[in-house]
Amino acid sequence: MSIVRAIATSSRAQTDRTAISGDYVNLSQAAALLGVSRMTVWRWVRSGRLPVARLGHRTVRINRGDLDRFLADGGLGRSATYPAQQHNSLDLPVAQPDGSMMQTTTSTHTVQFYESDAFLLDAVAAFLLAGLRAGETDIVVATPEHRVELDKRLRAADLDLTATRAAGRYVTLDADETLAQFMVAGQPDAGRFAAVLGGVIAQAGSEQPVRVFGEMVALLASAGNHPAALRLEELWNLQQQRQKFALFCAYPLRCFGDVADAGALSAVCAAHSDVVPTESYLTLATAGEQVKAIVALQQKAQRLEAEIAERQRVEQQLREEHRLTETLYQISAMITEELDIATVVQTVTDAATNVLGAAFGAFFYNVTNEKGESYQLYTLSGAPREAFAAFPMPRNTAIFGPTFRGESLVRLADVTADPRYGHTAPHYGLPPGHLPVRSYLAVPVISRAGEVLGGLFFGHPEPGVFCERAERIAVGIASHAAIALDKARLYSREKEARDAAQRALHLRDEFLGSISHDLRTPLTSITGLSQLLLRQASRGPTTESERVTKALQQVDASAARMAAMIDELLDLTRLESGRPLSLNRASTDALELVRRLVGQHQRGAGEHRLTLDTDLAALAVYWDSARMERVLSNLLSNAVKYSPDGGAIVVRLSSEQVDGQPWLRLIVEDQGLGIPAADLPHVFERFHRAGNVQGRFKGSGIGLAGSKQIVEQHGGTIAVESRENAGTSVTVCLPCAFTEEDDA
Amino acid sequence: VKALPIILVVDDDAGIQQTIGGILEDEGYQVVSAWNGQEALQHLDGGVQPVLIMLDLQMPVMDGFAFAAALDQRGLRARAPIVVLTADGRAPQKAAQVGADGYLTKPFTLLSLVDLVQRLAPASDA
Repeated sequence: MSIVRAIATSSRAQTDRTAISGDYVNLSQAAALLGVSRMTVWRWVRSGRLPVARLGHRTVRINRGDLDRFLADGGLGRSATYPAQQHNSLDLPVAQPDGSMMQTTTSTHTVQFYESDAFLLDAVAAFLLAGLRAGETDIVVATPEHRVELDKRLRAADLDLTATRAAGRYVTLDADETLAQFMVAGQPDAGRFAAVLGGVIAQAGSEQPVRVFGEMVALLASAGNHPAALRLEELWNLQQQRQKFALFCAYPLRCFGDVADAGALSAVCAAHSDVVPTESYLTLATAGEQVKAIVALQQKAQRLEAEIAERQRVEQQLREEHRLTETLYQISAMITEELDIATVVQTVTDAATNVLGAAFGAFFYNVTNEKGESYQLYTLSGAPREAFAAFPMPRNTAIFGPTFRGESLVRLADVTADPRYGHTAPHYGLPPGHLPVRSYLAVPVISRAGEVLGGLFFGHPEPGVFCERAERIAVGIASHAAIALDKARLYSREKEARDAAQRALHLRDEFLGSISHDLRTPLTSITGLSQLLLRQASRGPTTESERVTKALQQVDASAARMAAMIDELLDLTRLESGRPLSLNRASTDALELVRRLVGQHQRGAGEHRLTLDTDLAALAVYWDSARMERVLSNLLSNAVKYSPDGGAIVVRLSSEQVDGQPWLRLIVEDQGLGIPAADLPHVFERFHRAGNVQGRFKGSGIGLAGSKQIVEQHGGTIAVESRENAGTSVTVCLPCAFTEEDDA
Repeated sequence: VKALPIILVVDDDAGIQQTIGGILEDEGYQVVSAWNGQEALQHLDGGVQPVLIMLDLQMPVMDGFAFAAALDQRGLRARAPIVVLTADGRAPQKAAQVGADGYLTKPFTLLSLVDLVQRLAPASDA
């Protein structure tokens, strides 16, 4: 309240003082106006000598009226030496090139800004010359080049510099060397400074006034060390409180060439009692020209400020773009190394939701399983899975459609206000209980091959959240996601193929083990019985011809079995290489063959009851008997083998007319283990063995594969029906006659 | 007349039954054959007292492993040593699994069969 009143009061009282910032000035401006350092002003403020108005916690302002009263009351600690024009310092000081401005001062602290060295040297030479002519002592702390130039200028002014120097009235010091004597850790040390410079000044000024030209501050400022330069200015000011001397500092204006140096410049100005602008202003002759120059400078300043603002805007934009690129790069780096599809989609969804500032995001993506069936999965970010668990998958509605069809991006400031919204039954809009969505952004994820892999969806309960930039980000992320998904899918397909090959190798190993087992058994009989017969024959002539005959019959049968197995193996290699079998067709009675095989298998079947169920007396067929025998043998031995608890095995043989041709139908039924549903589609695959028999029953896993090959080459079909633990039924249908195309 | 020592041959292959039967009968044993473990148990239950059991492992109805387990369960294991018949490359491990006293890998020779049988159940001792 009091501040408001204070502002109101002062604005009535001080309407004409608005040049700096209206009725109030800040500490730096006050320092500039008072010709003291900002620290000094602050000390006066803290000690209560200078009243202030507080605007907020950190902002301190000084009323111009208070400032004037302070000046009039002689509150300024060194008002005796305060130059008259300072009181009116809003008028720019008009320095004369001959330095006469400084002539009457003894403890002034002037700063000269300059653009060219020559101008500076002229100004300094004038300053020094005025002092020497007035009988004062000059101290120069400058660079070697400047010292040489100053010497030249002083000599050119008809000064006997050698004599003056000898009299101790012209003292020169090297700026760098002097600096080195009091700089500690990049900052001027107050004690050392006072000792070094105080000593020089005291010695020089024992009898007459002293003028000092110093450019150590300029060296510091040129090196970019503005804090040290300012601190040095403060030390000079302090020194001036102890000793009387006129001080002339100079800064090349290029020291403040950066926007960020504006603060340093005003601080430098604040640290001086006199501020002299550069030559481009000082060299103007008339007040009119100077005013024009000021207007031009004001326009230039305006333009620069506008330029700076524009540059900052562009920089800001570039920074944002850079951040965006960076983010996209990070996402891309994260996901292109990732080969797991679920991880890819989760990473993408999380990153995108985060970058876009969405309340939640979802990635619906299409998956194809090993059977070629495709379906859709989704992952979420920013919302728990339960938030969507109650809703069906989004459908091809007017809003979702363009995304799922991969047509276009959809960005809506308010989805509920869109004409496409709310036309689909049953909910006509967001289903009840859905997270609130007003802002909506959806982008299709499309593979390089043009396939729609899925869609990224983002929502926010506030309208207008997603800007055009968000759209670009989403498109960028979607394209990265597409690449990563493509790659992950490729990898997963490759892995599936690798696993399948591995499985095939494993099956092949089992098959080889099994086939070797099967070959070894008849070989054992051949070997053992032959050796027995040899042994018996070696004892002399034997009369037991019945035993010999039986043994030789078994040898013969075992050899035949081995030969059959080898045939089967050869058939298998043909099957594997895709070549057809060459069938040895001949006229045969199918019934006789079936009956014989059923009888054979009954013998080795123990507990099983094999029955042949048929109305036929005979059935003439024209087929490869050896191979069909192998088929039947396979079916029967499977029925026996996979019915470990015994039970009935029924073989049904019938004939029927198909398209006017006689066909045979053979069914082998057991009540055994059955085949698990998962294995049923694979029973005709080579080496495949069902999960419920593998390792429990010997077998090669080629029986049914070979059977199918033989049946199909005869122009027939074979089919399996089974329920696990209920039994299996295999049906073989074959044409009885032979038509040319069957063997084609 | 002294009864011949009995060897029980359990195998689902007719050729193997005939081969082992022929060789061992020639060696002076009486051979009783069974198609599977269950039939073999029935022989034992019916009073057959073998001096040695030749046992195939993979058979329908009751395989060699189940038969060995059934012997253990009925306390009949000590009656006769067991020789495992297998075409498997891992015959020693399988024999150990069943707790057999010896094994023969198919195809085996007459001599190796006779040797093993003579060692485990000498015909003259019985």
